[in-house]
Amino acid sequence: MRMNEEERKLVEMVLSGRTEAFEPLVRPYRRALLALAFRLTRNLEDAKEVSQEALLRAFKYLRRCDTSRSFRNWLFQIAANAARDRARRSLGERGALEDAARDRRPDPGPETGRSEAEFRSGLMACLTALSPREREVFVLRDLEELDIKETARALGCSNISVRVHLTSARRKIRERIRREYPHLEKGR
Amino acid sequence: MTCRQAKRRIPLLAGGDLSPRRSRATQRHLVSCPDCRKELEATAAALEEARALARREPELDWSEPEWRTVLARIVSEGTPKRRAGVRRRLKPAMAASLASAVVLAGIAVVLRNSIFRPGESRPGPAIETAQVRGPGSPVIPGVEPEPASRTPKSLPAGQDVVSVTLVSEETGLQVVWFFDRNFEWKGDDK
Repeated sequence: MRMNEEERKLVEMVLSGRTEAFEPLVRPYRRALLALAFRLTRNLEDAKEVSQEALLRAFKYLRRCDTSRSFRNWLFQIAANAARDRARRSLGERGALEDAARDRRPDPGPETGRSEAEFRSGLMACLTALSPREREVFVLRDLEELDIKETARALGCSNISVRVHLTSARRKIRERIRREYPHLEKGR
Repeated sequence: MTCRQAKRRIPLLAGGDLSPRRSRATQRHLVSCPDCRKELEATAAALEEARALARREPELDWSEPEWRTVLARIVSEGTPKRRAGVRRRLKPAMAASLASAVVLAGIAVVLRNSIFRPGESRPGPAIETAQVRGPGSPVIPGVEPEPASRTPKSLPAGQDVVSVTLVSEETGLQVVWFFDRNFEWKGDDK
């Protein structure tokens, strides 16, 4: 997938000094970026910081953006790197993930209440079962639907490495759903 | 294909990530193996369920003022950068070493032009003349005494070696360079 013509023009505008063009360039991806960061960090505050960091890096290094490539995927690559950097810095990542799995969701509305909490904690529990690398691969390939090649590029690893981690991630997800969420596997 | 081989490929097959050739080979096994077929169906269902969970998640978003604040901060803080050049990739230590080398080379050139000028002697603060060679003098490796007849007139009689002492203000490290009268480097001492 390539960068579309409108995005290319906006990139050129930003690079020529019209920084106001950056907002319309990234606005279409602001939710997707936040969702990706949330799935990787499993914490809303961290997700917002990772998203901000990703946007800042995207702005700073926009000149490096390859226009023959999807802008969304480039942005996701930066976000994945930012999330990894943050995870390295933060201690007790595992503990934070487990906290998140215990239904730590952002600002639940009273009317959306229980079913949303169930969905979110269900997905969190699945992702918690994965190693950081498996989680990155699974989120990018299976939830964000990047292909194997783009996933590998985003994570800076080989296609083979992506396939290996994807295989183990899918096995774990399947086991997790079968063991702890049998009602989900059967379908509601 | 054995069941073990097939089961290794099932997670990738369930997501459509197997190459066409491997996919065909695995499918052929599945036709005749109900157990592996069941495994594939369960994996595909779990995968679909995880995707469904993700789709049903309440969508996260920034509030509009929050988004505007973030963008304003990014635009004010960051400036689109040029590609990193060779100089930008130099590490600080390398840059410091390079600067030191340039300074030392500059000193060497100045000394070469001033110390051994015929008929003129201009001792500077960082320049000291070495002791006249003789018994008890420090031995400088590789420096042999020159005949008196070849000694330049500007140097004191018998002196054939000049030392330059460089002292680091930060570390206190002293480096002494020894040169002969032709400004050939003859050794150092730290």
